[in-house]
Amino acid sequence: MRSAIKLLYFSMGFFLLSCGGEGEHPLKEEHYYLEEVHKEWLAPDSIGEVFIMKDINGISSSFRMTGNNETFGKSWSTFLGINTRTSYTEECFQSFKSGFGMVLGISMRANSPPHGDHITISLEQVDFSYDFDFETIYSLYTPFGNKNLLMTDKGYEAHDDLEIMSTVEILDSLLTAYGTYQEVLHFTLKDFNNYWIDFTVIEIYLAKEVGLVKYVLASGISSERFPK
Amino acid sequence: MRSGYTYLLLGLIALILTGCPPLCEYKLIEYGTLSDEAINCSPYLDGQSYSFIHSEGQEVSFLASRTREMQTDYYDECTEVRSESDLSILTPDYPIFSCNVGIRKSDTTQYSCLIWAGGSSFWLPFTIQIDFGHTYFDSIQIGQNWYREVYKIGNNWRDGIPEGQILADSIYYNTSHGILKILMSNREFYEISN
Repeated sequence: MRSAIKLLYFSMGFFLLSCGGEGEHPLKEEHYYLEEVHKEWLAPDSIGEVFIMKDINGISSSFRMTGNNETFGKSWSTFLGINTRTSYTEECFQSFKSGFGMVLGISMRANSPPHGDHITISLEQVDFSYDFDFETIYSLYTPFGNKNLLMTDKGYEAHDDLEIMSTVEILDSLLTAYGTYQEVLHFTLKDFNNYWIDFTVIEIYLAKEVGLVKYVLASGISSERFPK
Repeated sequence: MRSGYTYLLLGLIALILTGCPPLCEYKLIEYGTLSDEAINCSPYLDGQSYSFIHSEGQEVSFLASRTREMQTDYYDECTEVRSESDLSILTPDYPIFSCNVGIRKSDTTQYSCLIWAGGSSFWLPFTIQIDFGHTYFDSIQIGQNWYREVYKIGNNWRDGIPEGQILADSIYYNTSHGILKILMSNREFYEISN
């Protein structure tokens, strides 16, 4: 008799677990959209389009867009097998590859309040995510180590005293050898300095409605966007 | 009762096995080792540096590493092909592309030499039947020096370099110095420097 009850409990548990998931009729459905003003940070290019970067010594390289997707990521939560909430989150992904083998990624994701839309930029394995509302870099991935802030209801907190020293500032304009750009996101890597090598990307400049306009390596070599 | 289960299990196994395709006969094809003639297609020495000058004047030094090994490829699920390969990798000290020169036995008598540089690849024309266009020079001046027995080799892009991209368009190569010049699709170039 006891084993029959156990079997019943087990079956119920299994049933509830198997029901929990992507239900078609959630009790609550939410959509999170990227703010239009934030989407302007995406590059306006289409797949196959190319832009040119030229370094301080006159060496040119081309970056070709290899991917450009916009999706709504679906997530859900359940209680006792009932889908209580399904959310759809707007996400955009862009990828580029240079003729020299460098890889650039720009992605954006909407977020539920109080957190704001965030942008993730990666160039040559230096990858950071920035929350527009909190004006905070909350994750940093490099070949030398990673740092992540803890997301809480009140904002972001560093755990294990692993504060992110790297910074993002939004510049009104940027003057380069080949042009002037308005509203430029400027990232500066300030973490893991002792491990940098000459080719480590330590600064990234991304202009609104343009894309990558400049980057600087630890060796001091910088490359700037060259007009078509 | 237990023997009943055993028979049932054996029966299931037999059923599964009869559903499998017949085992094929394993074949190993040996292409053998590279000849001295093949090895000498690449002049690069392990641990040595090779310098180039960009058309705008920047010097770029490449450090060579060279390895030689037997490789096994699966021709199909029953056939393995073993052949020797020789790979020279040139790693730059400046943030541009690396260059590779790979030599491999393509059958028991022939070998092929493939060069990768600037995002394009190039077949050394006298080592293989595929030819994407080449010009042979008894002697030619590159930079300040004259070089003998030089091939100018076109890239392997079948439909041409994708529009707008800056990739290697052609290279100049001889077997005593290796890559002599890399001409990019935007007319920038890298020349060997002595």
